[in-house]
Amino acid sequence: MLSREELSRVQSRLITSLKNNVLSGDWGFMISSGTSGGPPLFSVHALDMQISQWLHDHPGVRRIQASAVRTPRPSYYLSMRHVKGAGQELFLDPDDFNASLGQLLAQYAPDSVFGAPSVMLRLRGHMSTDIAAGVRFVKLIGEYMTAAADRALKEAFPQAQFKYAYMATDTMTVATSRCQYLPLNHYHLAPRVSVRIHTPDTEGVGGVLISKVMNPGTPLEWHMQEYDIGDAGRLLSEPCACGEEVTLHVFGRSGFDYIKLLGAVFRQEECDRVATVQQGAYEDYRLEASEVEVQGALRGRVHVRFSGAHTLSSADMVHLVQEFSELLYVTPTRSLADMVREGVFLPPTASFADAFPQNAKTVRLKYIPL
Amino acid sequence: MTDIKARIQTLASHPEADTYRLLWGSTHAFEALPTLSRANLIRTPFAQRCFSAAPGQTKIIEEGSLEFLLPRTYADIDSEDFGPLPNRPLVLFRNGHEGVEKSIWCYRKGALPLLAERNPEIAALQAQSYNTDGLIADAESFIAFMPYIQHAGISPHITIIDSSFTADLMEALRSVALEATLVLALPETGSITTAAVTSSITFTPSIGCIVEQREHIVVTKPDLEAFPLVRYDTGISPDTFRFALQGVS
Repeated sequence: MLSREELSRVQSRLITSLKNNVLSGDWGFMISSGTSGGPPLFSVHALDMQISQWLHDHPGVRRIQASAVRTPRPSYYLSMRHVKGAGQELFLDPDDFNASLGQLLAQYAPDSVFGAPSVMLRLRGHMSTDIAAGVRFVKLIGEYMTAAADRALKEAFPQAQFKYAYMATDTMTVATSRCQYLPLNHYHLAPRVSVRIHTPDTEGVGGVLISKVMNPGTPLEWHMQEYDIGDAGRLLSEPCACGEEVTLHVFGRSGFDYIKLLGAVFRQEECDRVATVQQGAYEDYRLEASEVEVQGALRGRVHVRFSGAHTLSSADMVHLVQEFSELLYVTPTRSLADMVREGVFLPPTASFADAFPQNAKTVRLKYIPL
Repeated sequence: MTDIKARIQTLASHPEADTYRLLWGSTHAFEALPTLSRANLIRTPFAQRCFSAAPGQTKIIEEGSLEFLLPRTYADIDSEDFGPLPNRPLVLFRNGHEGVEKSIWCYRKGALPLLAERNPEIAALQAQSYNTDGLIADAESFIAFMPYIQHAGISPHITIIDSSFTADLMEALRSVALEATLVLALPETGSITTAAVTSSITFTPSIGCIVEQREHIVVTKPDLEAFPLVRYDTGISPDTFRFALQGVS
């Protein structure tokens, strides 16, 4: 298995090998956003024009690429150079998301937008209904799609066609939603990519390990062998209706969008649902899960942090976290409260914060290792 | 460069050129044309700032608390004179749109740009890994990065692209004792004049660019596809270039 540290060493060697050479053309430097918790990874990649063509086969006349991180990513940006019919590109980074953006978007009137789901929703917040209705293509990358985010995006851009690519800065494109039969977060693998599921559970869900020929046909070609991308997923046992043999179902980032702990599964989507039920009591939440040893046995511990404009009293927090626990299903048939009653988890605790730090990616679930 | 008289005639009859028609009235002699101000440009509806449907980059340009959009085609970016092209350029700009534009310029000239992190420490590590041999930056980003140049063990050619060059900047450039080029530019005009940093700095108008010294520097770039500039008042006083501004018409 290739770890992130080993990948970092491989990339350092590749970049060092450029010292006395000149690369031109379809290459790009990338730096990871660091949302996975590790140090930023500086890497160089050949652009996959095949994927770029698929993603942008309806390029749009006025396109927006928006990023949640301040590091501009010209390799994404410039992949449009080769796409026939492409028009103007407006690249947005967090500095551009200010009070002026709405009137600029009203003038620009984009017909195609590209970026991570959370950034697209943020972008929509700066658009009038009319301008959003003019968006015909939404191309999504880089983040696990919850059903709530999918619904919100489809309501936000009601006239748009959607495309999804499963990718990370470390690996570039792994898979795409390139057939009409694929449900949300299901993908067919990109060319020269294979996937193995590491330590699968009884339902086949485990860590996604990526193998891929990187920079094929170039002096910097190398074989990525079973890189642990940090996501949970499973491979479907049946071929797709389109004829593709392999379909990957991604469950999100292990320990962030999705935490498996002592037989319970905490999904961000389910936590978001509970927060919606409790709407009005608080504005946002963070859930931290960990294992603790209690008298020689492992038990789960959950701490929920609430935030909002109005401070919650201790009594309010006790009530809210108990209700949260009753409402939150962590198996198909059992709530967190059920697992507390069974003694698998300790009673959840709660605290209050005025606001949470704003990071490039909103991470609501966090696994705290023992 | 296009014949300027012919270009003015073409512009005056262009369906999207209301701004110029209103500004010029019946005057078509180049020397007599009223100058176009930044305020004129901002007031021009966005649709009339896009003369060409060719692919390219639309930038957000800051004007005090205001922001406005300006499209540029790839051919416009190709035509820029952003100084010597390094083999392994490091691109450092405070404004993301400017950084992307200069990176596009490098790509299209055949060099792979490293559009660096804004954090100078990380940028220095990246530059060291890539063994960058050329730094293309705005003045502010260069000054922030300067302490890391020697630390990173790199000795790049430096190109500063900006609308002013302060005494602090000049001192910083001389202190690192590397070859350097100054490119006077605004986001909406691109390069106006360039100069090598020597003991006697002499600015030369960029190719395709007519530069006039009036109360302000006035620039004409008639061959820009997206929005041709004719007698654009840059708002930059030529006096600030007293030490340098020669070779300008």
